[in-house]
Formats: sequence, structure tokens, C-alpha cells
Amino acid sequence: MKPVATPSPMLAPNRALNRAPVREPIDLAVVGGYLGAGKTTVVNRLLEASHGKRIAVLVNDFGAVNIDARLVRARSDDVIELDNGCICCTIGGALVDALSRVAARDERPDLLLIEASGVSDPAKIAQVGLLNGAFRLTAVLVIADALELVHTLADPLVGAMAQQQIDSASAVIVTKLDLIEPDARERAVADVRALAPTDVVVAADHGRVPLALLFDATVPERRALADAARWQRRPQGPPMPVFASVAIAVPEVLDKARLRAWLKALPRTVLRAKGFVRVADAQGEISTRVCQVAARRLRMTAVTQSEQERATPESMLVFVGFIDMDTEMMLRDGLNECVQVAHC
Amino acid sequence: MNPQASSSSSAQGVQAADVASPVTVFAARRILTLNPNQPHATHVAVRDGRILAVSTGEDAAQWKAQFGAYALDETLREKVLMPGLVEGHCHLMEGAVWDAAYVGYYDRRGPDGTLWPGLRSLDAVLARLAEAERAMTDDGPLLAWGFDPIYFGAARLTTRELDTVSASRPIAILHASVHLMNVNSAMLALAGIDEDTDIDGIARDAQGLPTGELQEFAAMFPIYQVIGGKLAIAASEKPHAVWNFGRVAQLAGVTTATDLVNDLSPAGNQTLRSVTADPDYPVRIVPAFAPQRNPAQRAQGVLEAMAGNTDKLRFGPVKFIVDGSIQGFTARLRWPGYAGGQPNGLWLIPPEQLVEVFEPYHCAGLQLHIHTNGDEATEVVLDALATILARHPRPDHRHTLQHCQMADAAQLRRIRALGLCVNLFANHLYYWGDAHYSQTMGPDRANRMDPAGSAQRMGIPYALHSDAPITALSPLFTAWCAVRRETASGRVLGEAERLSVDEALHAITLGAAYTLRLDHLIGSIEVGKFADFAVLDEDPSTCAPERLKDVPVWGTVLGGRVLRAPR
Repeated sequence: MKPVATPSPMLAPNRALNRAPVREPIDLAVVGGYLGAGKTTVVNRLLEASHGKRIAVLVNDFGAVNIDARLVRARSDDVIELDNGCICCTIGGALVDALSRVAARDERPDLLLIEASGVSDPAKIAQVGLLNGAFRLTAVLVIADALELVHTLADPLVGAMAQQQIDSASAVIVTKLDLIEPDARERAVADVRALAPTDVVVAADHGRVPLALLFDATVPERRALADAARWQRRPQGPPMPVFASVAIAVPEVLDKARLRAWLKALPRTVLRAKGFVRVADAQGEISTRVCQVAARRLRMTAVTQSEQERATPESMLVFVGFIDMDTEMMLRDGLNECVQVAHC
Repeated sequence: MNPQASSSSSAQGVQAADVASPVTVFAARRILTLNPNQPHATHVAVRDGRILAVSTGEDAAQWKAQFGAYALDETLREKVLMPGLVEGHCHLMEGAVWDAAYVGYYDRRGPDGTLWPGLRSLDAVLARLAEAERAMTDDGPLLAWGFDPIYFGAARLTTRELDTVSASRPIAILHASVHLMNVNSAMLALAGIDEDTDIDGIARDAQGLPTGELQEFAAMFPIYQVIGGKLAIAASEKPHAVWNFGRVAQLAGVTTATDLVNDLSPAGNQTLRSVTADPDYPVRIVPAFAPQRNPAQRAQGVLEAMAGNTDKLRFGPVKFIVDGSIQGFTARLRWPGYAGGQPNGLWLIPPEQLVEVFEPYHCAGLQLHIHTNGDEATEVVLDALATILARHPRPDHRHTLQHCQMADAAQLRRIRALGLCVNLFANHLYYWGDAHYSQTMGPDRANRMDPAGSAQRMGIPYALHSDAPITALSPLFTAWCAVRRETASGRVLGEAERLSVDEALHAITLGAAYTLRLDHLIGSIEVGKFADFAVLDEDPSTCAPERLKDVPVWGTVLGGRVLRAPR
């Protein structure tokens, strides 16, 4: 693939949009966090990890960060640089242009990774992956510097913004733990967890992060795991469940409004969810929908042609996260609560 | 290379020309020169597009002996001339928006001189849209701009009303703020936005259905995919938009105007070069490169573009945007923040990165134009510039704070001490002054907004601007705003900050020219400068101050070429 570094004449926009629905959406993940937290290192490690996926990277920053973009490029020939996080005034700007061009490619990447600028709200970019179109949100990874986060949050100029970034996360990655005493590390991660909207708060190992944060193929099914493998030991505190998935069949028709509310408030240990369900709307009309949940945001769309062609979808939702038996029970109960009550 | 020195290179044209180049003498009812040595005149002699002599009738009688035979041009005999007006903060986008239908609340003049009356009700907006729809010959989307529901109380435009304009053709209406839009059902369907769409910025009715009002990037993204590059801020690549921009400027008596967010793209530069080279193109364009739009270009890119500068295309300024807008609650404010307790605004550049972002451009000898709306943004920029100027002192840098709407007296003293200029957004006083008084800033700070009177008293070099297309491009109106400081409802904001008419006329000519480092070439009617004039039907220096905005503009003279504005 060729790098797309300089703006080219605007592509015929209607074509990109019209073509999109018949093709599988591209997975979209946003990596955010304040300046110097280690976003670029995490992106670099993701690029070199052995996942077999084709990743395009979009760097949404400028200034000294261009040096980082070169580092990224050294590991990938598919980097797109664009203007700074002026998302609020990207009036037909470079981000629209870049996303349109990625969507219109003949050979699409499996994953588009957007590295957000240090002052942008990752959630705002991530929401591009929630509309019926070329992108499908899978993760919002927010990087938190174990040493600096507390100071950044206390800074009157940028504190509220840094908290907003944390608030947007599907998972928080704590970096630079190697710079603090081993005894204090567990505590540092717990402190971040207390500030985060999710319990999926993991330590980066020199920028390396669990691939389960992004890729389903690397996540074992919980029931397939030996009992001993279901838990990760920690130096302090009780053991934590490992990343696992659970698939729950949903043969019944679900009430759309209730399902929507429930999927937006899944347990804090759930990282993401996806699948097909049959739902009834307020008028009682029944349809099959593709559901995708990430970062407490729901993408619920009609089944695309390609999905229909592959097979008649089985009504099932797959959940990924730190899922133990209790969580699995909560999910089953929650789904049961969404079953449409027959009118008598 | 010192970019400041290079700006005098345009004098080459004069030296190269033969001494016998023909001279044209313009006679006028009155000429306001803005040259204190000779404030008024009746005749101006022009050779090679430059001012050769300025005089009253008696002295002009000797010009034949001095310059030989000349052509006397009496076209402007009944007119009042003043220096061509200078708009120091506007965007070429003003030329692109006229591809779409104008649906704003205030009167606005299009590039062909048509006056589009302001639309004072939602029904009037719908009628204008229906008219535009009927005039369309293709099946593309119907686009409109300039809509501002703030003037219609609680009433909002929804898909229901827009669908009456067309149920099948997609419609998108960009708001005046350019941060929101309204679309119809066909556009919602095309964008895939429905009740299940779980993203921010989609207004919904009581049943949870989208009303068609969209804001935030993700919600507007699919609309921009459908409409492509239309209604985009980057307009320099479109020749007809550059032309339309020139016509709008000419109608307002402007002879030099900025494009204060320019991508410095090769295609855009090429378009600007070829369009401005046309002798009929009516304005000198000053594009300001915005690194935030195109990070690949560095200071070197600006210096290279400057090497190709002409008399009518002047690269050089560099633009940075640090915070958002006050009316959008995205400007960064110091304590006590927004009057209604809204959360503080956005940083577009992290405060701790300002020094490293500005420094390379300052060290390359370039001039910075820095957007700071809120006073906290102004404060961190002053800190950064103090650091940079202590490390790398540079006389006469003329770095300019753009908008700088909320600076208080202490900040203005720092601005003076650091040798900065300010370009104040005087039009805000009229268009959003009532909202600032009652909603965003409260009375105390609304009264001190856009403090031109303080800048004048402190001797800070200042200009006034429209930020077109955000508000109408019309420096005489902008000057009126700074003189009267009246809001749309008639409230006067901060009488002590009012300018005299003479001060305001200086701000829209020499004042703006100074902030663009072009005051040696434009801004006054003096020997050696470009023969750029605004041609007026009345004398703005003697009319009643409240009528300043109504002084009719007949046209302009650019480099000695008479350009009558289209009517």
C-alpha cells in the first residue's frame, strides 16, 4: 500500500458513501491521552505485534509530534498525517478527506488506528465508527502516564480535558510503571482504575499491550479455559479474571429500547460486545440488527448485503472482557430482561 | 533571507520602468489621504500603478511641467477617495459560500452585487430554500449557509419543515457559526442517521427521533462526505471562489484582504498565482499559512512561497489557532469563566506546547498571527511569546493577536510591552453583543470586549476585522461597530472603548496594513505607495458617526486601475 501523506484532489464523495454499505466496515480504534503519555510507543508496539492484521495509522497531531510520526512510519508504510485536533472546526477538512480515502480503497486495511492529538477528545473522533458506513468502532484506548497523570489532572489549564479523555476510554493503558517502585505499581493501576469509567485498566509493558484490547481472534473463550488459567495472579490484592469471551445465544426477540439501554450500561469489566439480534421496535416491527458495543457506545445497524450473503446470521452476542462466571451470569440475566414480553 | 527586507523588492517594478511611463491624474471631490502632512487633497497622480503625487487643484497645475503630458481621469470627479480598505482577518471561504443559498438573518451582498435581504422568520428561510431548489438543474444536494436560529427564540428548523422544500433531494444548511447544520430526511437517510445512531451532536425530539440539527464532527462527517469539498474553509484551490471573494471585497471598498487560514497547498498556491495575476482581479491577497491545517509544510515552505510573491499575492504571515469561540462556549476563559457556569472551552494547541510550536516560525523571521478569543488563551500565549522573545529578541516582529476579544487592561499592558499588535473582532459587538451581555460574559466583561479604545490610548498597533464569512466583509461597517459599540438590540457596550471616526478609519486602512507588514505599500495615499483607493459617494470623515456603515461604496481603484463595483 502507498502512504497517503499529502492531500490529493477531493475524491468523488458520493461514490465512497454509496460503496460503503456493501463492504464490511473497517474496524476503528482511537488511541488518546495527554501529551507525553506514550501514545506513539503503544501504536508502534501494536504495529509490530504478531496479529497478522493490516493496520493503517492516522496521526492527528502536529508540531514536535511529527518526529513521532516518522517513528510510526518506520514500522508501517501506511501512515496518514493530518491537521491538529481542531475537530470542532474540521469543516470539510483533512480528517473527512483522509477517512473518505481510506474507505474508498480497493484494498482496505483490517484496522484503522487513529492516534488522537494530546488535547483532543478521543470520543469525538471515535464516534465516526458508530454511523452506518465504512467504519466500526472497536476500541478507545486511553494512555495514562503513571507518574504524570495526577499532576495533569490537577492542572487548571488541562485537568478537565485530561479527565474527559479518561472518561472516553473503553480501556485505559497505564504506562511508565517501570519508573516507580515495584511495590507501588499495583496501587498506581488501582488509582487510575478509580478514575476510569471501566475496570479494564491494564499496565503496558514497555508499550506492549494485550492484543485482546483490539482483536477478537486472540481472546480465548472463557469456558474453554482450564480453571487455573481463568485468573491472573497479582502481587497484591485478589487475582483478576483474564481476558476471555463468552457467546450467548439469543433466540428470543428483544425489546429494542430496553436492549439499547442495557448495552450502553454493561458491567465495568466488559470491554466490548458484538453480534446479531432480532429486535422489536416501539411499533412492534421485528428486524435483525448487527450490534457492536465499545466504550459504552452502541452501533446498531441493519444487516448489510455481504453479511446476508455469508450466512443467515445466528442470533448471538459475544462479550469480551475480564469475564468470570459472575459476569457471565449477569450478562445472561441482563439479556433475559430485554426479552420482549408477549402482549396478552 | 530577511522576509521583512524582501517586501521592499516590489519597488523593482518602478526602477525598471521607463521614466516616460504615462501619468494618469485622478480628480476627486475630496481625497482623505490618512497622511497627517496632507490630510486632504483633490488630485492624485499615478504612474506605473503607484502614487506619484498628491495635491490640491492649485498645486496640480504645475504637474504638467513636472511630469510632462498626463491623462486627466475625471470619472471620480464627484467621488470621495480614501486609501483602499484593508481587511486583516477574513477567509477566501467567503468566495466559496456563495455557491450555496444564503439564508442568514442580516442583509448580505453577493459577489454579483445582489443584495440578499436578511430572513427574519423560519418561513422566509423556507421560501428562499424553495426558490433555490426550483432553480437547480441537477439532482445534487441543496446547500445553504448563514442560518442562525438564535434570532428565532425557541423555534427550530426540523426535517419536517425542510422536507416541505424537498422530500427527495438531500438538503444541508450550514449555520452562521459553521459548527452546526440542519438537514432534511433525505440527507439523514443518506448519512445513515436514525433513532439508533448513538453519537453526540444529534438533536432529538421527544420520541428520540433526530430533528435534523447536527453538530460535532462525527454527526456532520457523513454530510461532508456527501457534499464533498463544498462549504469548506479551504477555498484557495477553486478559481471561481477566489474570484467571488475578490468581488465581495471590491463591493466593500477593499483592495487588500487576507486568507487567514491557508493550507499552502501546491494546487492552492498555483490557483492564487494565476487568478491574482489577472489585471482585472480586484484585490491583493495575503494568505496566512496555518500549520495546523498542513503539518508537512514548515517555515521553509512559507519562505519558498514568499520568494514568488507579487504585488498582488503576498505570502508571509503564519496563523495559529489556540482556542475556540466565545459564542460557541469553546473559548478558554480565566476565572470566573462563562457567565452561565458552562465548562471552560477547548485548547487546539496544548498550552505547554506553544513555545515549541511558535519558535521555529519566529526564528525563521516570520510573523505570527495567533487566534486567542478567551482571556486565558491570551494569557498563555503572552507567556509563550515572552519566553520566545527573551530567548530570541527580534525588533519589529509585529506578532499579532487575532480576535483577542477578552483581553483586560493588564493584558493589554503586557501586549504593549511585548511589542505585539492586536486585530479586534469589532463586528462581534453588534452580532453577538446581546448574547455576550446576557449569556456568555455578563455585563462587566461584555462591556470590555474588543477594547479598541484602550488599544488606541495605550498606543498598541491595532486593526478591526470581520472574520468573513463568519460576518459580512465590510470594513466601513466594522469601523461603525468600533465607533458605536451598539448591539443588534441597540445596547451600547462599554462607551469608554469607543473610537472616534478618524481612529476607526485609520484602523481599517493603515492600522490593518501595519499588522500585515504592508504599511510601506498600502494604507494611505502617499507618494510611492500603490495607487489603491476606496471610491465612496460620501465623505465618511464628515458624515454622522451613526451613518458610517451606510456610506455607499462606488468601487475601487487598484494600482491605478478603476474598478467599478457590480450593482
